[in-house]
Amino acid sequence: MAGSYILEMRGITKVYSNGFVANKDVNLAVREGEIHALVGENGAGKSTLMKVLFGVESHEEGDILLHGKPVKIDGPISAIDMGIGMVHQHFMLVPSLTVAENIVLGREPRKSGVLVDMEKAIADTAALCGKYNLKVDPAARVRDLPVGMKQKVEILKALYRQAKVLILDEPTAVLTPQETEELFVELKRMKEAGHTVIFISHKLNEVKELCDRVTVLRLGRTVGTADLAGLTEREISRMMVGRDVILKIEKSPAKPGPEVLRVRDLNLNAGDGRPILRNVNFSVRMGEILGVAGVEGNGQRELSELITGLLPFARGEIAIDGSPIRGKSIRQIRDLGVSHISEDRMTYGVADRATVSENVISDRFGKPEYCTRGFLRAKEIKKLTSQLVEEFHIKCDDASAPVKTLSGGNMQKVVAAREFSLGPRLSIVNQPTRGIDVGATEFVRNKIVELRDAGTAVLLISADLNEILELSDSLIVMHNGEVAAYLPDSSQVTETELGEYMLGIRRQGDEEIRRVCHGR
Amino acid sequence: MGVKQIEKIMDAAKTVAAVLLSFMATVLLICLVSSTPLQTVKDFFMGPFQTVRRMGNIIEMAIPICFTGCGICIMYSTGHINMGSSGYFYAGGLAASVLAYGVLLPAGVHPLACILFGGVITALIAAIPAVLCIQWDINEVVSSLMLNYIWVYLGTWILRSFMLDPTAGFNASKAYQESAMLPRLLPGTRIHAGLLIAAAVIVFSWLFLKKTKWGYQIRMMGVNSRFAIYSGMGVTGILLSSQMLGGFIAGIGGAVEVLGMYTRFEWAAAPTTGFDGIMVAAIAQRNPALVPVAALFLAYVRVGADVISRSSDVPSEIVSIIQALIIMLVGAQMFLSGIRHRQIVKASVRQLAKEGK
Amino acid sequence: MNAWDIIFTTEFAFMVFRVTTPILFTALGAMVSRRAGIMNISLEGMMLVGALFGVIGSTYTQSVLAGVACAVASSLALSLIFAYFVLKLRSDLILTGIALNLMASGGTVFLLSVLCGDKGVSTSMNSLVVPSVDIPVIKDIPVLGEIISGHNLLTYGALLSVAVVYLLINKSPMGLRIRSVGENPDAAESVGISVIRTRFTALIITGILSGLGGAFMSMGYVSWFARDMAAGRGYIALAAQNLGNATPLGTCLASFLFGVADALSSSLQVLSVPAEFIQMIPYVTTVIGLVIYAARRKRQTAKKSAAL
Repeated sequence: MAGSYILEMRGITKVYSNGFVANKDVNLAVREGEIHALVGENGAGKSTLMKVLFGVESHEEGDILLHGKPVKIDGPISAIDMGIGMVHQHFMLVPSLTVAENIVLGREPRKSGVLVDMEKAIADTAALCGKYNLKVDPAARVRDLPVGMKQKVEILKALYRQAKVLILDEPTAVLTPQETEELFVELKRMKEAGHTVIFISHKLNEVKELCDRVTVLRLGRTVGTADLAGLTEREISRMMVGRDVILKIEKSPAKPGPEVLRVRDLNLNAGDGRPILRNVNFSVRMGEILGVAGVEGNGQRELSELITGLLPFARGEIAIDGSPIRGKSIRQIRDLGVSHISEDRMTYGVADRATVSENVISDRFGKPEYCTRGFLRAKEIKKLTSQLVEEFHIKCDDASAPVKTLSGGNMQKVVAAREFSLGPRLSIVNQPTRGIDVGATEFVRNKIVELRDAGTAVLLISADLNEILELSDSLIVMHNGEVAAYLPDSSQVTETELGEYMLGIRRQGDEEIRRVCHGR
Repeated sequence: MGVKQIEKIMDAAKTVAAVLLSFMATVLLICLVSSTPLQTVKDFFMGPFQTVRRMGNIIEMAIPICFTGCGICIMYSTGHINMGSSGYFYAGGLAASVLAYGVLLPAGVHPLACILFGGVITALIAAIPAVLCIQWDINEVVSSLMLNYIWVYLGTWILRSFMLDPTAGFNASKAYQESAMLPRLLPGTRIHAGLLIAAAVIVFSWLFLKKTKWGYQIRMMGVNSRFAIYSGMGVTGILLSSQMLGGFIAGIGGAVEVLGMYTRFEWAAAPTTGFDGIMVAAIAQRNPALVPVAALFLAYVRVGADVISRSSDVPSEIVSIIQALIIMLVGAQMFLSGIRHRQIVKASVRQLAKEGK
Repeated sequence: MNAWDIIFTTEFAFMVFRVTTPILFTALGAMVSRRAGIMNISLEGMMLVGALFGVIGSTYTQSVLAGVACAVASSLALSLIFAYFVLKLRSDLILTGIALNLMASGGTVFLLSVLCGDKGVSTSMNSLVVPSVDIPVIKDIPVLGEIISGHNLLTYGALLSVAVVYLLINKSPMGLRIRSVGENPDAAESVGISVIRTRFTALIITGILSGLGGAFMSMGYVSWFARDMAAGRGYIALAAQNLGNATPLGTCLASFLFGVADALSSSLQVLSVPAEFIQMIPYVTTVIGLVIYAARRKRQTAKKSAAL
């Protein structure tokens, strides 16, 4: 059947310039006219693979074959010319332009050679909409459209450019169930019209419903490709989340104390009304690490930003050591003893052009140890920095080196040094080891355990199963903005079980979940 | 040599290269238009140092620029750019003039009162673009440009309606009181006590921006405002106070200038000192300690241009070309970036080789 | 004399057209830059350079057309320098703009002095002006004819430019690309539109329009070049574009508002209202306009999120 493959990627290896191997010898073969699912955990290398295919990233090894012939794709333009279209997770649309204008942008039909033939653009768009039964008003402004419509415009854009192969990167992540249903009908219609679709998703029920075959990636390698017809969701999830223990963290059993963080009935809606958090309840106690497992985008980010004050408060209650944080500023929340490692290191975690010293004192520069009568005490700060540089094994020229000259791992150690060294009551640790090397990963993880042993309550949010299972004492699983399960003893949890909760195949009863609410 | 040192050296090299390139352009221009090119080039470079008076001119000219330069350093360190400095300088001069002719105070106190008053008024004015930005997200460049015109027209009206000396023969205020004027420091020049105030302001600005917790917060906000928010800093307060402080400094600059160099208020428009401050702060890379160096340099080329405009057929405006080239090249990220990149790569390779052993 | 007697005259209306012309040209130029995502404060310098080279060109060629062409070419050259530094060398937008304005301010005086030995005005140069024309038929209509006929050709050119820029921005492929680059460069790049090339094109258009604005200053408004004769019109143009919300028609109306204020300030000098307050009108209008626009936008977003 090799002849019927429209697209093949053989032995693709991609190494990023910081040495991170995102794809290792990955194979993907897509048949003409099928809907092919590409699944895998966060960081499994799906996005990288698709970036290689779309010409956004170059690859070190391997071949891409189109209709059996090797091709060279050196940019989005050549990918588009070869009939490959991509619907990005973040829409590439111009809000003030109309739907038709967005669709013809760059390939405008012309009237008497000079002006855009807007009637033809609208007619073409309408014709395209009709052909694939995508209901979009060609004359509407994109900024007035709901998210689901915008996605249709993106699909139309690709179709207008005669895409034969359409890549959709987690298209349902932003959609309501109704919109998702509509999308599926449309995608099936496209398949009937002879298009090939590559569908990237975490949601196995969707994959099962929509797709013909599936390729599973894990840790940058291909696990396998299979027909979905003979496969249960459970089997796919096992392929996805099987893990290899790379790092073993030594830790003693936790000795939990009283409740420090108390979250009750927390709700949050997005700007467009979609619920992001629904009735979230849990506690974190002194001296324990509560892991929050889950596929990214299920509300974990917002949860951490609500607790630390970065997001304005929603409905519900959050209290630290009994004092509610509603109406408190970030400064006041930090003064309650809360520290925070953000998942977005470059946006929040560091000031890249500032020095290591300036980065480690950002949460304590006003304290009397470091500041008298408004003047910073250079000597004390220097002492603190060199002490932290040593304690956290930060590799840098000296404390006055700008943080941007450090490697990712060392930058993260700078963040950890700051957030862990004030003896926090509560530490919100979000994706602490993302994109950093193995050595730094092990170091940071050990530090988290040390922190726990010193009595800090740690809320660990991670999409990395290894990390969650190794580090947490107990864990909750988030799915769709809800707590789907509470697992009091992480060491007793199997990946299969966790995977099922994460992917929404199973959910505990409310009573079981309620057990995570310690305290009064 | 580490990456950090390379970055530092390349920054300096870029400034030097920008200066050299613009000097080359100047020499070329002089040769094109002058009938006595060699003498003119010599006059341009050496002229400013030939008499005490001219050296005095350099310093007199640099004094006001130091104020606006320091003010801009503080304001721009937040990462928010505005064009208000020329209006601030004008407002400071005008406000100080009101007290300078209108009240009688002892000699030592009088100028200080005028200068403080000028600074406070300007600080209030400087708060406006910041408030517009905080409250409604209005672009500060446009709003401050418009406000500059408003201040100057308002000032001209105040001057004509309340301060005018009908005997002066032109739009000028009544003469300042003797006691208000800043004393001259050096005979044979017009260097005035404002020099001391400028020195104090430079030291203050440097200490404030580099050594205090407020300056630290301003700089962190400028590097990454979301990092500042995440760390618990109140960025709107920082923005407002830094703009007011910057305005205060620019305002006392205007006050010092009128009290040191004039006997009555007679500005018909905002002097270019505000824009000079932006240039100087750019060359000094927002470090107040380097502001006097850049200001003296700017004053030096201007005096040089003045010298040749008198001694030869080359107009003094040639200086504007030097200025523009320096500013644009210093501000160009990609200028000499090829060399910088190669040096850094080389250093990293060396570093790796060393660690490999 | 009563203010209304001054305003409700055909002379006054005629004058509004005259003083609006340079602002309108340049504001349209500012608008094109802004639409491509570039805050261009070097317009002031472009106008000034254009004004001087209009005089130089027409003096040496004794051709009006060549004079205007020189004005446009010189302004374009400055615009290209700006583009090269900002787009290629990634210089700071504002700093480059300030530097170029200072360079233009000094450089024009430098050239003027070299060419005619005078640092103030170019009256010793035998430069030409763009002719004024009567529009047949319309010129005979009472009132209207007196207002809109008999203007400088460049005034009609400016009005025509509104339509041209409208077609360019709203109807042409280039306009579509300019808008996409200004609003979402990633989206433009993802469909193969070069952001840098598109911005270069936008700056070329800006250069041409500001050059025409400059040419009018020295070849229509008056018949000579005087130092710093742009007198902040470049900045006003930037504000007009802002007040007009970067649409061709809005920019045109805002430019006329500034024109009215400008004309008022020179006509109402005889009144008891201080001239400064009248001169202030355009700037105060801009600031208030910005606040009203921003406050409305803020309320709308607040309402939108409250509704959900």
